[in-house]
Amino acid sequence: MSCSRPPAWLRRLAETLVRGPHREWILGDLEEMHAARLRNAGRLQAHASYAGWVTRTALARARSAAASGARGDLRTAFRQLRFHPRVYLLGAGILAVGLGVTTFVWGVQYGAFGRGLPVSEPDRMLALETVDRDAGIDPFFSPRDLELVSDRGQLDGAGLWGNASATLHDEEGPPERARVLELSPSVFGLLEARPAVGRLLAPEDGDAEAAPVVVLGHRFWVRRYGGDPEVVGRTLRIDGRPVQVVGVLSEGRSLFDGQRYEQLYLPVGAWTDPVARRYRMIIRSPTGVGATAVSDRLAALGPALSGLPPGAEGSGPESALRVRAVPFAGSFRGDLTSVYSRVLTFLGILLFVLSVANVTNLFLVRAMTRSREMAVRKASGAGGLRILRQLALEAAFPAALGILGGGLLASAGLRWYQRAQELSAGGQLVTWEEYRLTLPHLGILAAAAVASTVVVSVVVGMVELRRSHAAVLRSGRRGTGRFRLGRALVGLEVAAAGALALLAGLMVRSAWNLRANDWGFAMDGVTTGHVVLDSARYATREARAGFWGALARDLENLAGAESVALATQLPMTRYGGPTWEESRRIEVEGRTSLNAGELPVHYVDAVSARFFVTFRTDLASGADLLPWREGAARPVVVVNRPFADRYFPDEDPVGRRIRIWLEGEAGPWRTVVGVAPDLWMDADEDQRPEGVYVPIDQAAPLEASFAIRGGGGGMADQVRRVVAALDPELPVVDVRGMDDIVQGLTSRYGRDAPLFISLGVAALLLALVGTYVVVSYLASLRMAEYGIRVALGAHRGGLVVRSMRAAVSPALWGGVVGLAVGLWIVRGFARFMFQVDPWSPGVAASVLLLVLGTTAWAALVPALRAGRADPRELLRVE
Amino acid sequence: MATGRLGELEQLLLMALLRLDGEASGVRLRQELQDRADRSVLPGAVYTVMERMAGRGLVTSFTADATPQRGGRRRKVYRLSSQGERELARSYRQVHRLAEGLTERLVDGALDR
Repeated sequence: MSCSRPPAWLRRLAETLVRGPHREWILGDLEEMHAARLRNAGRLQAHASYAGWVTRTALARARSAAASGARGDLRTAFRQLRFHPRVYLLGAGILAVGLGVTTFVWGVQYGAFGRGLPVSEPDRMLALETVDRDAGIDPFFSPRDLELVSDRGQLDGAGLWGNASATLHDEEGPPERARVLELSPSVFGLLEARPAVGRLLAPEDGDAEAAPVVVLGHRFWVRRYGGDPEVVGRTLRIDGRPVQVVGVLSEGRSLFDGQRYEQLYLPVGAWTDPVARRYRMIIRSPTGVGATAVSDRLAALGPALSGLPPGAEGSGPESALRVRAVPFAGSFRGDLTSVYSRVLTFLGILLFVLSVANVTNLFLVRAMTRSREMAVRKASGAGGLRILRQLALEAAFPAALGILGGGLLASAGLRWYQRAQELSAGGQLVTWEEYRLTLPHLGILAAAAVASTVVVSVVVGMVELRRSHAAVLRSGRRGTGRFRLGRALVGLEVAAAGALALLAGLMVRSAWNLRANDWGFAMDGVTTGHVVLDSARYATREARAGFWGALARDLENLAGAESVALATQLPMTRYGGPTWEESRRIEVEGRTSLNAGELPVHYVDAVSARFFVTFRTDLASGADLLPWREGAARPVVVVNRPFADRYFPDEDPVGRRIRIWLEGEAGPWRTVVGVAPDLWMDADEDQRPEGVYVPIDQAAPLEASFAIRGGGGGMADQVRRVVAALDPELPVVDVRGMDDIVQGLTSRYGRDAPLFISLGVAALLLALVGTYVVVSYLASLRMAEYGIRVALGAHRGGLVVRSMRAAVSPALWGGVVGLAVGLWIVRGFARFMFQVDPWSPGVAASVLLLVLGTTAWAALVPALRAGRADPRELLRVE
Repeated sequence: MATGRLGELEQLLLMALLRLDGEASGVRLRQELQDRADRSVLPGAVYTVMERMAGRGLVTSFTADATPQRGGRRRKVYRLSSQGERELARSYRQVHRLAEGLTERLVDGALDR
């Protein structure tokens, strides 16, 4: 009869697959069904039907078991959640903070530095630069270079751009100094810009013989022309030349200038002498061709772009000069922002490590405290897989809650940051800046969060399950008290917190230094502004000196003006006009015996007689400014304190002589008549540059700033009237308070201080929780031992110390590692901090103390609880 | 004893059991459902439902001898209990009352389509 049965292998398969309480009957039924099918349909069909029934029966059983198992697991997980809400909510809270803050920090970093341009394929937008082994990187090119690159580069597009400023005249109001973006018309297309009114620049607008045209910036159009579309077609005068308005750029777009927005867009070549001027180059690579491939294509152009003829020295293939293409957004931002970006990235990583370590620790402890429960379940027949699945499900609750909370936190934080940045940028951000939740970032972090909770729970569960349940039940919860992994994680947390606290500490120090700094001049109540003369009409020295003299006199006569100063460079600013360079070579009589080309370069500021009075600056010595005041021809000079310290360290410089060299020619010997304090001639750069002050009458610059003490806020209009009375063609630029200038320059030191300080505090709090959890756990393991010790007369203080010992060594090594990591991160970050030395032992010691103190405090609470142990109670519980 | 309402498969299986003279094995029940109700049910499902009804007192069961057709395995035979009979009758009356007057429409309408 054996031939009427299914084949042996199919029967074995059926016996393997078919499980459950009715197995015996089902297997019998299947054979009976097979026999019936054999009679009706034949052997092959009977076997096939049998195999099908077996498979369907096994699948149906598995589905039903999974459904009932999952329901049971969910119920168990909910029960855990109900009975131990604090553990799970704490885990979810830590995860939410960690994920939220990390996603926020990465969102800020990505929004400011990583997003790229808002064009359809930002990765294809590249910037060109030439790299010289000796001279470094040069990002500037001429229109001829653009032709070469366009011809040979096989690119999808290329264009030049550069910032400038020009004086605008029209019938709307007084002349205005406007910010200009000179650009190849193709740049509008590359950046996918659209006009709000009229049109943008067309290729023919760049031709030398084309009629000059201009496109207006949107904000400028709204401010100066009230958003009037009729402005298109009108003719303006820009630096004296008639230029026709052809359109207005769409709202909310500034092509390159993020801080202050371009006002006029003019074609390269049609505007200034294209030979003299150099521009940056933006290119779009063909689809699928990366920056490296473009660099390779353009490599041979290196010598040609440098202007070297073929065959000239340095033009060969071994030339030190080569062209390379780099991602546009990155190239534009420069080194300073890349440091900032790097710091933000590391901050994100640190915070995430911190929170993941924390949650890992929490779940590690939670899983370990359940070893007895798991042993009981194992002993009562629960499958290992089932137990692990339940552990994973339990951990998934806080993970899900943490991801949700973190996402909400990050989203809210980024919205706030976007608003704060818009406010500080005066309404709009740079074209590429946009801060919003980035789902890929959150996704990566969420995956790590799930790993830290679910995987840790499962792995610890696996370890526990491998132990003999009989041994676990016999030994109870008594452990060795070592818990190495937990302590290592505490060390890691303390290290991350230490690094973040160091940064926060340095930021606090920076903010404090900024607040307490003595600038050496009084900035309150001083109105400043800038006037640029027309080089054609003020070509002679006498004409320029005459204008500045008249301006100083008329400004002093204004109602409310206590004193008036003119200067090529106000304290803490660097206007640096073209006719009176801020840096010149200076020769000190009897001190320097060098060739003209080797003389040191220092700042030279041309100022009017009442400059020092207006800024209430005390001249240290001498101060015989009489010839200055009288405008006498006698050449005099005031040196600043750093200059005096360098060249006259042990003597009074008054009466000594120096002379200023410009373009290889020596000026007259000038007698030092006073020593001024350091007035930040290098703007806000954190150094003390040497510099000198000479009378403005003798310098006769083409542009200068004015500073008026007194008169209050209404001074701006009065100044404009005075300038218009002297010369109606001249614009007055950038009228604002001196305190506003200083605040603007120093804002970068303080702008993100609250952010860093909040991160530091968050890090310390997370480390505090982590330490508390571990010390609590370790103390709980040894409670019975403590009970016995107390019963035998042990000193309670000793028990507290014993409990705290678990946190001491990880805190110590963590603190030191954290400081080292922190110092490594802030390399180069000193430029964002005001007069702060990251290596100053004071800050490092304070941070170490703070971190150790926090850790000790976190350890103290559970340790004190252990120390208060009542031996009877403890031993009864055990 | 409160037995609760009969589910659809329970109803069908009890009816099949009644048709088979109130006593049948799992495989016969399955075959009857297949032949008369065009309902294909896996053996596992038959036993799960029958055991549930046994728990509610609607059927009883006993084990019959092994046969060669079953590969030497024994059979489980179910028998309709009087309570099961009452429950089936109640359930049938419900359906019958509800279907009263609908026969033509069901035949001419949905059943034909």
